Amino acid sequence: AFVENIPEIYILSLLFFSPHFLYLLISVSVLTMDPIPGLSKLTVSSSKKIVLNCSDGKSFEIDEAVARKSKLIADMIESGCDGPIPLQNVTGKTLEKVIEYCKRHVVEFGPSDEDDEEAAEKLAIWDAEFIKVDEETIFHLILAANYLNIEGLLSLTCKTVADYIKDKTPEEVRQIFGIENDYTPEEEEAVRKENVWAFDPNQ
Amino acid sequence: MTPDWSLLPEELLHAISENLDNCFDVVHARSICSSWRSTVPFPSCLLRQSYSLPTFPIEKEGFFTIEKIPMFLFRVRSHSAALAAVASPSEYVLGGIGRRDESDDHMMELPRSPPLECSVEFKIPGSESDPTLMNMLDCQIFPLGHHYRMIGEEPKDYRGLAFLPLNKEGGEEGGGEFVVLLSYSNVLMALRSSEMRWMRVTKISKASCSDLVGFRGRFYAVVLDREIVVIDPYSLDVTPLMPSQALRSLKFLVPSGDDDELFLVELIIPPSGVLDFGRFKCRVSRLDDEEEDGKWVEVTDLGDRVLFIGHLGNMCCSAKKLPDGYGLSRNSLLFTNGPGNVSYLYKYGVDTGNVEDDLSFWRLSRENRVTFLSTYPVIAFRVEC
Repeated sequence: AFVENIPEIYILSLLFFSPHFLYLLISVSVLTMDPIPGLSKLTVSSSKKIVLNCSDGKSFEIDEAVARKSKLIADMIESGCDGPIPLQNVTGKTLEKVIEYCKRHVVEFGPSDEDDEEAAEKLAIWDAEFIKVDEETIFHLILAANYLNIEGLLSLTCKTVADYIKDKTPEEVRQIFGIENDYTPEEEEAVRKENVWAFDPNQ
Repeated sequence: MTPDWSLLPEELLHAISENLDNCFDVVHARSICSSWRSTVPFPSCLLRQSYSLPTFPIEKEGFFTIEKIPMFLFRVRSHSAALAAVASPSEYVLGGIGRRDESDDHMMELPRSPPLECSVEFKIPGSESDPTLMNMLDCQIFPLGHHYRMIGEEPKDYRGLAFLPLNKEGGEEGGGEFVVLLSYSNVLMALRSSEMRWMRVTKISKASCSDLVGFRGRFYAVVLDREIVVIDPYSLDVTPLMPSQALRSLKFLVPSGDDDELFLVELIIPPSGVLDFGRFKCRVSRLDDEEEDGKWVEVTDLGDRVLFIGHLGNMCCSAKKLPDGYGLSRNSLLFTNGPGNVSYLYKYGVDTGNVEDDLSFWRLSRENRVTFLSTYPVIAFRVEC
């Protein structure tokens, strides 16, 4: 793409002085005029941008490859959606975090298997740090991941919520997530009685 | 907008509960609020599927009831007040679990308001004190798969049964076809759910089967404690399946998980006259059923499992999550039948100190002494570290 900035007159003068540049001129003009649609995508790095509009008015411009981590967005692109994509169900704060995840998870090449394993480990460590947020943020992230259909983020958030539930009493989980106990006293007694188990008599 | 977790959509609650490998955590999730209770599905492994079968012999009117019972191993983790008398980090309880309301065997009056978290009624073995509720959050829980048991009065000469679902898709929820084998002391009977009548497995001579196991679409049985056979659930054809190197041994079949692995444990009978339990040794093999016929392949480790063999049945637990230093070590066998109430774990390659001994067997490891505190209705034991 560096040739784009060279003024045409310079190229023309070179043409006069060397026949070898004729080929270069033709190539450059073909490239800059972009007669073949999409050709610029092949020769220039794929930097087609997608604009996402949030429910609270914020706007984000990101690389298409990053946007495609969301199956919802990828489908919209496939079906020809060209302009900004409206995301009614996601706020700017949440989308920012989602984009952070997608950027990190855009597939990168690894020349050898060893690198892939190390890269996977590094990614896992990054994920663990990424998800160290308060439960309110996780709530918005899990809903956003579900709505936008981002597989990796969905499984990361579900696993994190499950980790909050593991090995805890129901009352402790209620406190963590601010869930109200909406059982009537009779329902509560029934739940408690159901949670008492017995060992099977061995005949 | 404060998040309202109680309004989490169904598909998300399902995805979250799938990440809970301890089924009792799922029960806890269901106990949090009414919307979660109606959305988070009850763990299928805790459902006690029940089957009604016609009786055999047909003299009696009525039905047999066979129940699928989930088996668990609990490692008592912390010192709860009730267990203070015998508490130590290496105490284990092994048994089948069921809903208390459905069980007739109530040991105690429930406290007015039992805890919200899961607990199990438990009498401290060997002590005079009253039964108590053992809180499951005080325990590390290992699932041991399922056993099928006959409920109610057992017929005369009844030895055991095996259950085999025929199409896995419908089978789990009790909707599919199945075959049941009932072993009596001199006959083996089979019943197909599509026909609901008993047929004799004629190809087995008048010999009793112990260790009947349904595994990956076939039955495996030990005949007369010595011979292993494969029984086809459709044709009821019987084919022998013996290890390539025959040994004079008592044979036990131990299934692992849900059709995960099938182990064969052979307790080698020492030459005549020597009945010293301490000198017994074992050989362990796993079933390799890649080829049509299947074969037994000897193994020197169990993939970090512990095998239990005894009167509550033979089962396996994965010890991967068991921290070291808690007595029950990976890749060991425990016979729960006794004799006596002290035993040891069998491990591979134990040095007997005797130069003549071939060390490539499983032998008692004196480092891991097991004391049985109770064998009914559960097996409670303590393992020295």
